[in-house]
Amino acid sequence: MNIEVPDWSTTELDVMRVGLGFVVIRMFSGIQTFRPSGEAPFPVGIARLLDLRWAASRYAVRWMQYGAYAAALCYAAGLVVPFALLFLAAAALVEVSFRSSYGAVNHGQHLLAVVLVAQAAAMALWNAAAQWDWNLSHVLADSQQATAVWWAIQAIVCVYFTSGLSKLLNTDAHWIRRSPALLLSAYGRIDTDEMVAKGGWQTSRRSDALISWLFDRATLAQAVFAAGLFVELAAPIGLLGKIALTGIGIALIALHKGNRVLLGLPFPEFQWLVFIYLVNLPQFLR
Amino acid sequence: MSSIDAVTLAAAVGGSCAAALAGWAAPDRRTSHDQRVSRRRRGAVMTIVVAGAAAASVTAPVVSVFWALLALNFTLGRRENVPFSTYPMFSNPDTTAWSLRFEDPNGQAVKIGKIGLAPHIVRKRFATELRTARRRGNGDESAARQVAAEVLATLIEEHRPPGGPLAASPITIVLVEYILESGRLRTVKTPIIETSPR
Repeated sequence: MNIEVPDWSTTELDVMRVGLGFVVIRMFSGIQTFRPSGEAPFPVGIARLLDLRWAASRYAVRWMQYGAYAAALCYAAGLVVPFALLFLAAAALVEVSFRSSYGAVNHGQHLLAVVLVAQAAAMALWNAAAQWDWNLSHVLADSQQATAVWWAIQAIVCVYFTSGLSKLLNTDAHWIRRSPALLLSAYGRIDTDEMVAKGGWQTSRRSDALISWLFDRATLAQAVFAAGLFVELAAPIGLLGKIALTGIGIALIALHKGNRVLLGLPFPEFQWLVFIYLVNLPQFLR
Repeated sequence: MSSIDAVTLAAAVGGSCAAALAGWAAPDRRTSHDQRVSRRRRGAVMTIVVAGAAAASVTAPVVSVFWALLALNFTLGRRENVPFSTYPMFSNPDTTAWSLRFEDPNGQAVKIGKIGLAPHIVRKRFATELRTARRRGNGDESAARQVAAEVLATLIEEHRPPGGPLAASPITIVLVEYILESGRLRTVKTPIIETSPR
């Protein structure tokens, strides 16, 4: 079985570009929700090397937001794409590092940062190879944008596989056996949902019954969580071709839907990015 | 070259799924001696994963980004160096979980969402403040909880509306712990602090 970089039509690539622009705007429109000040108690990533306290100021937030909106629109429109991507990758890195450094780890936005960095790196390498005639035909696709998409897909698949592998490594491979304990955090989430203004509470009460039912059936709970783990571990199969990618994409979205019901974690950014790059609906409209 | 790419992916998926199944079938013991051994074993397995991924990133060029990122995730990502991470959320299911409740004098949950405080953000803020208080404190857990809850109490008073039922009502911050004991759920509720309009 041979693997080749998939062949995407111009329409597919355009839809992916517009889709990513939408996800970026969605992320940056909500970045003010957690803005602590003072010294970062848990510096991560670039915050270990650079002082990111400037990112707490309203002025910096506004500048980052408007810059991201402009860059996302340029990117979606196909204008100055490499520069737009560089700005977005840098802004996402700063934002996610800043928030994580104050304890608000958000892996949903983390994935977006990974995708943006992968795309920026792909564009930079593709342009360098074109400029200096490097022969990187196995790593790079025919066009700059197809290369960026291929790298983004590999990055997304890697994130899921890493997550699955972490579960095995951190439990000496006993994760499925221990997984019913995850239902405990679902009870905590129901408490949290009860205090939102409206809506979420009723949904939580409905899933409360399912969680209690599963809690009394450990083997069934293990089987449910095992299905999720196997979807994560099987994610690399998607790299075999476009149809495999679509299948894995649908399975991953189903995994997130299940997580929403059982653990209260929707991870919308993950679902959007999987839908855009892995499911890739426009391929069926040709 | 590209068939090698497929072989590396098949090995990764097959190997990891087989390990997951074997772990499911094998008995799970958690003694302190086992944990010491498992830490060493984990380090060795992680080294193999990183070395294998780094080698595959060279030998499997079509999917080299996947392999390179995997190697980086398990080297740089172990200390959460954005964008590298091992994504440890839910990777080690614990037999305890906790949540915060904001209760009125009748023990009913206060919808803090109505005063502009997102409960999950407030929970994260409490966790952050608690970790900081623990690091600065002398090991007194209840004192650390008190310090962390005071930050939230200030936040509540800043957001308290001037009128309506929440304007004057005292609010108690309660820590709720869920503990799994012999397959049974035990719930412990600990009131930490009560806050009133200042």
